[in-house]
Formats: sequence, C-alpha cells, structure tokens
Amino acid sequence: MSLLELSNVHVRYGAITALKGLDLRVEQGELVALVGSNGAGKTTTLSAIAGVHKASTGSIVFDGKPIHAKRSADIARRGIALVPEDRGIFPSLTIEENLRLGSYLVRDKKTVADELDRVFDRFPILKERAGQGAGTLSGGEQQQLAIARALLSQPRLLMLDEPSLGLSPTLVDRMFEIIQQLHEEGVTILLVEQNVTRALALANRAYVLTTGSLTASGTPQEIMDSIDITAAYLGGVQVAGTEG
Amino acid sequence: MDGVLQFILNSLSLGSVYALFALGLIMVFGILKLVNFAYGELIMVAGYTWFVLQGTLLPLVVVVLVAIVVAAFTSVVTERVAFRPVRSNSMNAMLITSFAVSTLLQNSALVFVSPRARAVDVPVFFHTNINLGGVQISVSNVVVILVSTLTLIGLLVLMQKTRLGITLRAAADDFRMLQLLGVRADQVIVSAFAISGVLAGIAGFLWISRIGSVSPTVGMAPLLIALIAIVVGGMNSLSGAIVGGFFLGTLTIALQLLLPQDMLAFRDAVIFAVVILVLVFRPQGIVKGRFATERIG
Ligand SMILES: Nc1ncnc2c1ncn2[C@@H]1O[C@H](COP(=O)(O)OP(=O)(O)O)[C@@H](O)[C@H]1O
Ligand SMILES: [Mg+2]
Repeated sequence: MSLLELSNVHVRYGAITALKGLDLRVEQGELVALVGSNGAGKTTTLSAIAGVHKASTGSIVFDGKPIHAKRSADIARRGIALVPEDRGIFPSLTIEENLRLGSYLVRDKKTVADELDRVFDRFPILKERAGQGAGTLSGGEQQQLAIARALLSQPRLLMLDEPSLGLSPTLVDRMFEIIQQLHEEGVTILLVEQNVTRALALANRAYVLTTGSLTASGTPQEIMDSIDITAAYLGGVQVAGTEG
Repeated sequence: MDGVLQFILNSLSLGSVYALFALGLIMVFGILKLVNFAYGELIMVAGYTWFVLQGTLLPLVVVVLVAIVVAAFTSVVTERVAFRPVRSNSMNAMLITSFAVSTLLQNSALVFVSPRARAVDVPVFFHTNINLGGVQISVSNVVVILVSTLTLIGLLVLMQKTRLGITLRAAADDFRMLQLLGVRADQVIVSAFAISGVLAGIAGFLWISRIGSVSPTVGMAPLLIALIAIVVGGMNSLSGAIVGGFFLGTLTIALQLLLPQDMLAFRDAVIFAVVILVLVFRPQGIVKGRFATERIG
C-alpha cells in the first residue's frame, strides 16, 4: 500500500479546472518530484493534498485512509507537512516562536527539545537568530525556517513547494543538499520544482504535469528519455539547469 | 501643577478604558477580519449581571468576576451559535450576523429587563478623593488605572509568553499557515472570542461604574469608541488598539478642558475631525502593524 495515493483528482477554481484527473502516488521513504511549468497545477496538487483547496472529484488516500474531505489541520495531524511556495513565515513572531508552532502537535517535551537541537544543528543560522523577528530574515533564511518548522512536526510526508524559488545559486545548491540529506535520513518527500534537472537528479520517481494533466511519469531516466516527446508540452520548463 | 497632574490622571483613566474597549474588539478582528458589532452588547451583558446580582449579598469583587465570566461566556456562545455557521460564507454574511446578534441581545434586555436605564450601586468610596502629597485624586481614577494596568499586563503576558498567545498572534499573521501546522481554526477563534469577552467584561465594569447605570443601548458608545480607536491607532496590531485608545481618551479630556462652555456640545464633532485629520496623514493609523490584511476563514 502506498503512503499517499491520489486517484482521478480534479480541482476547480470557479470556471478554471486546474487539475484534470490526476493520479499520483508516493511510497514510504521515497523522494518523488512533481515538475512542470508555471501554472501547470503543481501548487494546486499540494493544496489539494493538504486540504487547503478541496478536490471536487477523485480521492486522496493517506496511509490507507481517505483525507480529501478533511480540514487542513486534521490532515496535518495525520502527519502531512506542507512548506508552501510563499513559505508561510509568521513575520510578527520570533524565529523561536515560529519553530515552537512547528512542534505544536508533539506532546512530549523531551522529543520537542531533541528535535529542536537537531534542527538547530542542521540550520545554525536559526539558532544564532532564535530571538529575532522572523520578518527580518532573508529569503533563503526564511526558506530554512519554513523547512525547519515543518520538520519539527515530525511529518510522515514532507511536501516542499519550489524550495529553490528566489534563492541565489549557492543557496539553491545548499537547499538541494538539505533535501537529499533529509531523503537519506528516511524522510518521505514530495518535491515540487520548476528546476527539472536538479529535481530529477535527486528523485526516485517523478511526474511531469502540464496544464492540469500528467504528460509523463516514471524514474528520472524514463522521464529524461521521454523528455523529447514531452518538451513540446513542457513549454516554459527549461530542461537544462540554466534558469535565472 | 495640580491641573496638569489632574489632566494626566483623567486622560490615563479614560484612555485606559478606551484601550481595553479597543483591545477586545481587535482580538476578534485580528483573526477573522470581522468587526464584531455585537461587542458592545458584551459590555451590556456585564452591566446587567452587575445589576441583577447587586441585590444579593455578594461582595462587589465577586459580582464583578461573575459579570466578566458571563460576558466571556456570552461571547463564546455567540461565536458557537451565530458566527461559526456562517464563517465560510462571505464577509457580508458575517457582518450582518454580528448586527443581528447585537440587535437580538439589545432587544432581550429591552424585553426581559426594561427599556429604561437601571442604576447600579457604585460603591460610595469610588466618588471620594484621596490626598496624595497635597494633590486630590479621585478613588475611581485610581481604581480604573489600577485595574486596566493589571489587565494590560495580564494580556501582554498571555500574548507574549503562552502557547495560546503565540498561536493567536500567528493566526493574525497567517491563519491558513497555522492550520497547516495542525492548529484547529475553531479552537483559535473561540479563544479569541473568550478573551474579547473578558476584556469587554472588565472594561464594561469600569465604564458602567463611571456612568452609574446600565441600559439596553449602553454598549453602543463603547463599540463606537473601540472602532474609532482601532481605526485611528492602526488595525493591524494590538499596540495600535492601545495607542488609539489612549489617543482618544486624552483627546476627549483635553477638549473637555479647552473647549469653551458653549462649544462642549460639539466635542464629539471635534474628535471626529481630529481623527479624520490623523487618517489623512496616516491612512493606516498611528501604528502600522503587521497583521495580514486579507481574510482567511
Ligand atoms: N486561487 C486561484 N484562483 C483561481 N485560479 C487559480 C488559483 N490558484 C491557481 N489558479 C490557476 O490554476 C492553475 C494552476 O495553478 P498552480 O497550481 O498555482 O500552478 P503551478 O504551481 O504549477 O505554477 C493556473 O492556471 C492558475 O492560474
Ligand atoms: Mg506553484
């Protein structure tokens, strides 16, 4: 049984149908990449899974139980963490307070403290600035904070929406390193990226989304092989790592 | 010198009550982006609780505590029964609901108590003066300043140091993200209504002890004051509400003092003019603040 399974998921925004029958699955321990050009429906997919925007038809099953009718807080409680495209930092809270909210669901104080130490080891900048307002962080630091906060909830599935967006090239490298590390440590990850090459280099499997429908899926190699065929559909996606 | 001190005390006293009014209103506004027009009726409810209980032999402190609890309870019930069912609808539906709740509560007071104002027994010592280093200070000013300061400190500690406070501040920043972290919307909202009710209860006691009576429409002035205070102070932070409250209080006392006798009738008109002037230069209010401006139910 897959950890996460989407079947025939449709999502509408008024008259626009942003997802037209998506089938997608994520196995325990996998890093799955969801790639596609701007407006393809990647964010919509993560929103539907997280319960932010409900699927109009189709089913989303997590750990054997349907979650598509649940509220986002209850989906989070089942172990799905989303790091949204805009990072969702609480700017009027300190970094430490942002992190505390990450462990909102973890009851055991010792676990919270241990996990916080691990997160601080991974992201030393957050420790240095723990007492500062989160609104003062740079884009890259905010992204680290957002991921750190998601990790503190000890998610069974971590969903990252374009974590490399708006970061400098050095920070992009660092971000993909972190994602790889997390994957190696056993975290199950659903990664949304426009940076196709970088995402495919890390992923166990990948899906290519084009205006609401899948145009390719499989191992990175299979995607690469079919990329000529799909290039026409990919539109804005640059397959070589040359985006600016 | 005496006059200056008197002016400061009067301003602090009125300003702090206004600040509490404004804080109670902004507690809910910060999270739901809803101006709760039924807020004034929480003050009314506190006042009637006082009126009903004053015949019993309970000491005033107990009566006041009960009044605060009743106001908080009423606030929570209105959330549960009236606001929650329409929360996913439009903002207009929420606003109309708050008008409806306000009218319903006012009419209940009208029917079950009386359309006329009822006197509450304000302790006599409230109206006496104490002598502090040669300066006469009214006991009621001291009580008001003391109670509001304690309330402000309590609220500050709650918002800054507790898990609930952090959650409430985060909800005002980005409610959707908070829910993505597993925090249930209903819990946060009901807490905000409860705190709003407590503030209405405390401020209501201070206000009603000032005017000495309670009537079905007693909450209308506090609602208006709170609304103006948060608009002029800045709607996007708690400090905006506090600043706005003290600003309005001080302005009111100053005009009371400065306006010639035959102009006093126009005091409120002058207050509005000043408020509009402030908003011309600072459309966001005196304090800018950080809350998200869009509403996410
Ligand atoms: N809140 C919304 N209201 C209306 N249309 C939306 C909304 N969000 C996204 N869309 C539309 O849905 C489609 C998919 O968007 P999105 O999922 O954000 O794509 P991606 O993340 O792949 O760039 C786009 O055509 C976009 O314009
Ligand atoms: Mg997107």
